[in-house]
Amino acid sequence: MSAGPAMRRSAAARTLHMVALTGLAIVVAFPVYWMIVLAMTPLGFSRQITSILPSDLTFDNFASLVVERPMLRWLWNSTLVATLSSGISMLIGLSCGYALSRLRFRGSYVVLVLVLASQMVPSTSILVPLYTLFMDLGLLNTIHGVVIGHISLVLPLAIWMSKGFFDSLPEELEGAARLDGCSRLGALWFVAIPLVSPGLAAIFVYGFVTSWNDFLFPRHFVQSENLWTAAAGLTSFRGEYFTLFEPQMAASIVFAFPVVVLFFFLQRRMVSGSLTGGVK
Amino acid sequence: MAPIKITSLRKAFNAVEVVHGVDITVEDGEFCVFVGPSGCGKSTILRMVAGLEGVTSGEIRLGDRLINDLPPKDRDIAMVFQNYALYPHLTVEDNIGFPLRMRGVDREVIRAEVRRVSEIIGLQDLLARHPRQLSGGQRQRVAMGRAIVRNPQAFLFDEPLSNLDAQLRVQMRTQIRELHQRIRTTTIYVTHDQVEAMTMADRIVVLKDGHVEQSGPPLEIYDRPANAFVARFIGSPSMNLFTGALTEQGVRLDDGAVLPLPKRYGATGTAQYGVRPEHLEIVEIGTPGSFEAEVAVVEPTGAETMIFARRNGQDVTATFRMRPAVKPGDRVALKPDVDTIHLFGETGRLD
Repeated sequence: MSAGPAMRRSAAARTLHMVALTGLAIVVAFPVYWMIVLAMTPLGFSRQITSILPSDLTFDNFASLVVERPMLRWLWNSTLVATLSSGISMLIGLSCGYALSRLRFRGSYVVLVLVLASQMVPSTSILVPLYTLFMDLGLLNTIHGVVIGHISLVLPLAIWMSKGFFDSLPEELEGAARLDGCSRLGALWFVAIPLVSPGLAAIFVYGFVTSWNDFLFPRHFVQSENLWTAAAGLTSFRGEYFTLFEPQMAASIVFAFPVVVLFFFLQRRMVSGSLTGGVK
Repeated sequence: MAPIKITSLRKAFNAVEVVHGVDITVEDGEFCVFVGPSGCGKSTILRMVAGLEGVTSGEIRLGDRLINDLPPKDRDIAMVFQNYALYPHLTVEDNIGFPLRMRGVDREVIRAEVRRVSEIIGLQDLLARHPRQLSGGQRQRVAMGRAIVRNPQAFLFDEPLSNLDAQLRVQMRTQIRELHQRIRTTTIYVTHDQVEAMTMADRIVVLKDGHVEQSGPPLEIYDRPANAFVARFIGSPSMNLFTGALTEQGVRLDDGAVLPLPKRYGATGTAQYGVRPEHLEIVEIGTPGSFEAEVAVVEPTGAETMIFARRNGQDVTATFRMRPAVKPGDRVALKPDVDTIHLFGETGRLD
């Protein structure tokens, strides 16, 4: 009897919980659903919405991406830019992070703070200085210009992340490796890198997604449509007076797909816990 | 195998000097234990011998070679770390074989060597496991296996047993000792546990605040500690020390009791009178040369009975083979065995 009100309250709380979670799920999932619906309906559907269900289904929008626009080319550019910029950021971040974590040198703290400060500058505010710099260096309208621009976006956090991973690795492991016949570099290669590899995967994914999603640099540093990345390409559906929503949504799906696949394959590598048992 | 000779070794971190000109020689094949309270510099010295820490000044020689500036990999020294430092991503077999692999030894030879070593340390059935699948004692043995597989000129142990439970610690102590008797490699073993030092060492080096306080065989250090610090640090339970004025009759304590001396000492002034717990006997109250104390706790361990008493606010410990009929609250008179007492002045031992 005394349990009655408590039970009722918990049932009410559970219902409230369910309602809130369902509402949240709808808020999160609806844009994705709407993107898919628009992508698969004939041109003009979005202008005369009568139902949230599609009336006709078509794949024309996807076909038009390849036929009317260089979408495959853009995706290839994106893949190139994202892979190169995140890969290079990962390598530089790895060596910088290792040095900042393991070597004692004057000014290391200042370096760390400066690196962090550069992360705090919004990319929009460095766009114009970078533009003039790239103009002088002849990097405008090139793929490698965009790669370098993206490295500058990704690297500060990559360095910090990598330093954190090395900090969490007990120094004795490398000490043991050095006594066992490794040079410093050997200890890094044979012992430290295998153990921080989940962290390196995380840095790679972070860099890849940042570069893949960035629209600012490719759109402003590159004039020729052929060299655009997919993110910049997405804006080509938007004209001065109207936007081709349906093909744009089809392009958005194609654009989002590689990142989802990348996450799917790398998530297992990113799960840590591989350190257990080495020390203590 | 080779002797290790450390001469005027100093180590400073920025402006702070932590090792102040230390001289230690570890003979060929000797098992030498560095012991001291935490912060005494024992691990720092060990890491300098290993090459993981730079030398500020002084010399470290392994055999005839000056190894100060050699990278760790070229020193031919193996080390067992306090936290084992096993490679978590490698199996036991690959952990033990790692030093050989790094030296480019043939794969088949590595397999054979790993097998040989794993039999010595009793891990032959666990070779395929990863470190996370092993118990603490097994991990410890893998770390030892990795050290012995390459026949180094010297072994270094940095508090290797401090992460194990008491029973396993005693067991591993014996195993390490046995292993050393079998392979006779020059060994430096660092610990803060003086029981480990006493039971394992051929020679003990007692360190404090970056200085060597005393160095010698365990029983010599136990029987003739060079100063009050060593006297108190070595031995369990530790030595009773009473501070008083040195007079012709003996050491006069502040409550008037006079503790007897075996002979006359020329010196005068303040002295510390040391007597080990096993060198006290219970006598009739009022016996000359005895002092009174109030029993606080009686601890029978079976073989011995330990009595913790209090004299003028100071703790006194005494151990007895026989089982004295005293209980907490009793007043007893304790008399030091005058031939075994220790007397320390400000600079050290007085005889």
